[in-house]
Amino acid sequence: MARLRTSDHEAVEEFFHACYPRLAGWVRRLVDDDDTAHEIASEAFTRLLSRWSGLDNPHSYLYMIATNLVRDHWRKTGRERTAYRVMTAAGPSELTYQPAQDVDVRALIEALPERLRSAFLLHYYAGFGVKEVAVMLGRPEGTIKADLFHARARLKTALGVGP
Amino acid sequence: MTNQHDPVDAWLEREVAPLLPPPGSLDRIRRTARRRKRNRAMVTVAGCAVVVAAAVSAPQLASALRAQPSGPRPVAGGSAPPSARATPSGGASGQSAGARPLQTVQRTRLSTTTSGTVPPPHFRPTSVTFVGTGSNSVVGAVIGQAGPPCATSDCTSLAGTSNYGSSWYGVSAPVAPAPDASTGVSQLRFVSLTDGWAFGPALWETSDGGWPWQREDTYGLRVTDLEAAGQRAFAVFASCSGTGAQYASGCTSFSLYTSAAGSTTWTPVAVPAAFAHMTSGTPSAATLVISGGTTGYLLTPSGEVLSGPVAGGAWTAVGKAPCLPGQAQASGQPADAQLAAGSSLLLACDTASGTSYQSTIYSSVNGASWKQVAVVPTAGAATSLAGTSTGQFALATTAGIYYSQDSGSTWQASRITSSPPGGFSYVGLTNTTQGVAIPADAALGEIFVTRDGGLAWTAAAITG
Repeated sequence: MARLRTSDHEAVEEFFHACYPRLAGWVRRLVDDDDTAHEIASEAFTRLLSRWSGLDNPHSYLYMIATNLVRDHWRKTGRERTAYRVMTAAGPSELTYQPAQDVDVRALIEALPERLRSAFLLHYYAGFGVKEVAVMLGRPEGTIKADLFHARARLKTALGVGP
Repeated sequence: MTNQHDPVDAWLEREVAPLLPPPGSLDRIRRTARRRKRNRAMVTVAGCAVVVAAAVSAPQLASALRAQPSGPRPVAGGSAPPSARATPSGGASGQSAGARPLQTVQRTRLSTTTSGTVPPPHFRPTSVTFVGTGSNSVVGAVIGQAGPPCATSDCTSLAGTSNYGSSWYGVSAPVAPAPDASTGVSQLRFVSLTDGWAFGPALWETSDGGWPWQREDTYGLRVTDLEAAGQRAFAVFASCSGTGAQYASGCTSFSLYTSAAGSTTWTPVAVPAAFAHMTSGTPSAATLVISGGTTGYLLTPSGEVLSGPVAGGAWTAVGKAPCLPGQAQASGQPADAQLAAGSSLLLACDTASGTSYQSTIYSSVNGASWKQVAVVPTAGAATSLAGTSTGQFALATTAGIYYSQDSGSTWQASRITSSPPGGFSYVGLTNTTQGVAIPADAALGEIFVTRDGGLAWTAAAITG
């Protein structure tokens, strides 16, 4: 009887209700619409649940998956934007920064190198500590700190506010 | 420190506005996750099977997998040899199943119309279940054994109906044999079109209406009774010495377990310490009922009645029944004491003397105190009792069925067209008019159905 444990079913339900709204909201600020946010959040939870029993830290795993899914979404929409520009031969090839628009900060984050972007999103945006991000990304803490510094510096330079 | 004039800081400082999940999200996510897990496991198991097939025969593989209840669970559908599954799954009988590849097995589910297949020939039903209790509850299923002939020992089969037994279709079944000591299954409960359990003595669960089935770990114990309501199931796990088909006989230790629909984990229900492991000096049985979908009752071997909420929470001892359950019948239900929940709790106690049969009927509101309401002379020994929330009750015996329309106060013998020899092993009432009964002789290949509240019962053959 020592093998008995609390129902995974109930644990999953509790975790879902505790984490889904914030995760979906987090994704929503990184993508274009609610539907895409729900799609990515649901896919992240699906991948999480299909490996639920073997995970030590489901919260970190969930945000890692979501980060990767957001990256894939950006790549896909980036390709679509490029294709659209080629088709219409209109508009600049670079995004124009308009400070008043939230989407442009997002576009700059999207344009960060992946190494910097993942650390930035997980630390500054998802709220994981440097140590946790280091574990999640498999890099030394010092490297993560440097990546975070460089990410912020690049963003501020792009925004014209200085590092 | 952050700088509110810094667009990056300003962007980061903005609160994330939570997005609530659309209705049904978690269910959809769970189903998709389960499907992916199964697919991964099936790919793995199929890969292993290819390797193993080079050295051993398929039946040996099936045996090895059956011996590992905690092993790769998706084997219920995807890894046993096709020959072990084609006939029991329904609709594939008569084919040269042994030549079929692993992934071409029928995958048929409970349906509000039909699965498109027919039940296997010579179906011998041992248990029946219907989904829901309302006037539209016409979808149900029977579990039993296919054949003979049946290609292997794993002949457990399911048949579904969407018109309360007028016609039947094939539904995928657990890859399991007939009850034989601690293996096999004989009883069935579905709580919805998707969530169901096959048990007695082993335990299998489906979350997709019959495909696939997953074998659950019962910790070396036998499941002798199971009831479900809403999204939760309760089961009696027993330690028994019975052999062969008498899997529920010789049981001397009992525990109450619960599981959520869709979960593969069963945990002990919180009960008073004296009932955590109920022991009996002589072989006995325990029986479960659920009242109104909200409250569960367990008649323990000592005659104490435990009760608790279906939604979760501790069960408590609420009273003492006026008679003790006897040793289990083949169905796992106790002889001598049949419990049912309807407009009230009803208990049929065997009070026969000499060569006649007689059941004394007791009624209780909540299991705390019991009042005798009737004495029913019967032509055979009582085997099963069922009730509805509107006061209809039916008592199955080894020589017919008796019904009451007034919460058990008065009883009459039902009219049974071509009454089966040996009577009935089970009776269930789905609503005020509809009910089903299982003949004791499964070889008849039929169940009996009433559509008038128990007055008349007619046979419904398990055929397409």
